[in-house]
Amino acid sequence: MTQLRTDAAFHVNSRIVAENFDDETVLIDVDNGVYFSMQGSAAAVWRAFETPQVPASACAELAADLPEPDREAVARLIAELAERNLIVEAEAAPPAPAGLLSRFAATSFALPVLGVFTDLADLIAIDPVHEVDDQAGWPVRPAGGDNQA
Amino acid sequence: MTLIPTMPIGPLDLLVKAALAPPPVAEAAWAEWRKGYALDETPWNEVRLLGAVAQRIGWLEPDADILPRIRGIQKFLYAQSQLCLVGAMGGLRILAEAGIPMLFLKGAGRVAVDDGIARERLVRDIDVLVPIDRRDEACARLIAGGWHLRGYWQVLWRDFNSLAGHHGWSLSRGKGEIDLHHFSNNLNRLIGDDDGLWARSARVTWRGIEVHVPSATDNLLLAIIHGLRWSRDLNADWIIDGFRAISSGAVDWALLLAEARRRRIATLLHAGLSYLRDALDAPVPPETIAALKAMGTRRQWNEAHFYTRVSLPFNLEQNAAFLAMAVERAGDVDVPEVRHQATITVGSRDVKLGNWQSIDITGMLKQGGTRLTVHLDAPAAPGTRLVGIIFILGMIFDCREAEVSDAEGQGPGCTFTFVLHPTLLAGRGVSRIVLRVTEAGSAPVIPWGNVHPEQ
Repeated sequence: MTQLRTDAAFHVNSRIVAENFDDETVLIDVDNGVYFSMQGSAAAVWRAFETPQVPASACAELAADLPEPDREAVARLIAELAERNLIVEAEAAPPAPAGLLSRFAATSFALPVLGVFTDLADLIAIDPVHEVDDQAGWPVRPAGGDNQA
Repeated sequence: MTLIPTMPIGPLDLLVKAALAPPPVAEAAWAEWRKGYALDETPWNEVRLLGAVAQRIGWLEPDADILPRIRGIQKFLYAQSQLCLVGAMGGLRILAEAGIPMLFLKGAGRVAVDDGIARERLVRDIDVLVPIDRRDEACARLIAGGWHLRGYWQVLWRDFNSLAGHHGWSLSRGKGEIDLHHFSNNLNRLIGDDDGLWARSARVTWRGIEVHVPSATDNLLLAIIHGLRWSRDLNADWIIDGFRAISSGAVDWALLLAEARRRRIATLLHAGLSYLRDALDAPVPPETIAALKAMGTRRQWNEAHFYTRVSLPFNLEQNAAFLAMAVERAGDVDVPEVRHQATITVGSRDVKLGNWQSIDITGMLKQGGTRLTVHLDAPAAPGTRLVGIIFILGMIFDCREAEVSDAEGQGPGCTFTFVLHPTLLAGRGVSRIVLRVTEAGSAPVIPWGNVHPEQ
C-alpha cells in the first residue's frame, strides 16, 4: 500500500463524480471509468476531504471517539482513497483548520466498505434485470460471479 | 385529433405515472403494473423508466421483492450515462480547446446542471448545438481527433453539404457518441431560429468545460419536439425532461407561446403539454393549452401527424406535409425576390421557370443525373450576388451563391449548380424540387453556411 506523505494536505479528486443511492454512494472516475461503491462510513470519510485535510490529522479527528479497530479501519480507508486517486494532494492548498470535522460516534459507526470495479464498460454489460443478485441488485452478479477488483 | 401513437400506453404509461404522477395516481399505477407485468419480462424501454420509479419505491412499495434490482437498475442507468459522458469528454475537449461555443441539449443539458439526473434518465449520447458558422470546423476537428460519422447518411450529408437538409451529425468514438447539432431541432432550420435559445441559455462549467445550457422554457420545448419525433420506440425520456422543466417553476409560458408561434410548432407543443397535464397533472396553465390549440393549423397538424410517425422511405403525404410547413416557415421572413426567367437544364431538356416554381426532376433521376444546373437570364444588374435555394422533401436542401455577370456578352445572367445524389432521393417519392432565388445577404432566413460561391 502506498505510504502517504504525512505533512501534505489531500482533497477529493475533481475528476471523480459521486452520487448517493440510498445507503450507498457511487463514485466514478470520469477519466478512466473505474466504478467505486461506498457503504458504511466510507462516503463520510471521503467527503471529509472536500476541504483539504492532512490524512493523519483527519483520521485522528474523525475517529477520535472510536475503538482502536475502527480507527484502523478509517486509516486503512484513507490510505486506499489516496491509492485509488479518490483523494489527491492539494497543491498549494493549506489544510482546513482542525476541529471542523464531525467525529464518528462509536454507537452508530458503520465500518467503511469500498468496492472497486475496474471497468465500467464491463459492468454495463451486466443485464441489470436478469444477471444480478436478487438481494443486491446491479452490479453484483449472483453468487459465483465476481467482477470486483 | 390526437397524436396518440407517440404517447405512452399500457405498461409504459403506468410506469410513467408511477415515476412522476401525484402520489395517489402513482400508487395506483404502480400497483397495476406490479399486478399485470413481471420485471423479468419487461422490455428495455420500460426498464429505463425504473430508474425514475426507484426514487419513489420507498413509499410506492418499500418491501417489494424486486426492490434491490430496481435500485440496481437506477445505478446501472447512472453508470451507463457516466460511461457515455466519459466517452464524449475527449470530443468535447476538442471543441472547447478550439473555442467553439457549445450548447448542451436534452439530457446533456440537464446533466450539465445536475449530474444526479442520470439517476432517473439515461443519457445515451451528448447533443451539442454549435453555432452554424462553426459546424464544419467542429465536425472536421472531431474527425481529425478520431471521431467518425455514424453511418451512410451522415457521410452523405457531409459530402453534399446539405446543411439545411438536416439538423446535425452523429459522431462516435469508442463508447462516446456526440450529436453535433447546427440546428436545435429538425423542424426549425432557418438562420436565426436558435438565436433566442442561445441568448436565453446559461453558462455553466461542467467537468472543466464551459458550456451553455437551455432555459427551462427551451428545455421543455425541445423535449417535446425531439420526444414526439424520435421516441417511436416509446422511451419516455422526453416526458421526464418536460415534466421536470415544468416542475421547476421556471417555464416562461408567454415565451413558450411566442416560440410556438414563431417556430410554428403549436400543434406539437399542444399534444405534448396535454399529455403532461392530463396524465401527470403537470401544472400547465389552461390558457396556454387553449392558446396552443387555437394557434395550431391544419397544415401544422398534417406535419405533426407525419413527424410523429416518420419512417423511411418517406411517402408523398409526408413530403407534402413537410413541404407545406417548410415553405410557410421560410416565407416568414420578408425576403425580396428577384424577378427573373430561369433556364433549368434537367437532363437534356431546358425548362423555363420563375421563382418558387417547382421543377420536375424525374427524368434527370432516371438518367442517373447528379448535377442540376440553373441559369438565370438577366436576373439583376451585373455584380449582384444572388442566392439560389432549392427545397426537396419540404426542406431547404441546398443553397448556392453566384454573381450576376455578362461574361459572354449576351446580357447579364448567373448560373447555380446544385449537386443532387440519386441515392439521397431514391425511394422517397421525390419528383420535384422547388427553386427560390434572392439577393445574397438580404435573407437572414438562409442558412448561409451552406452557400458556396460558384467556382
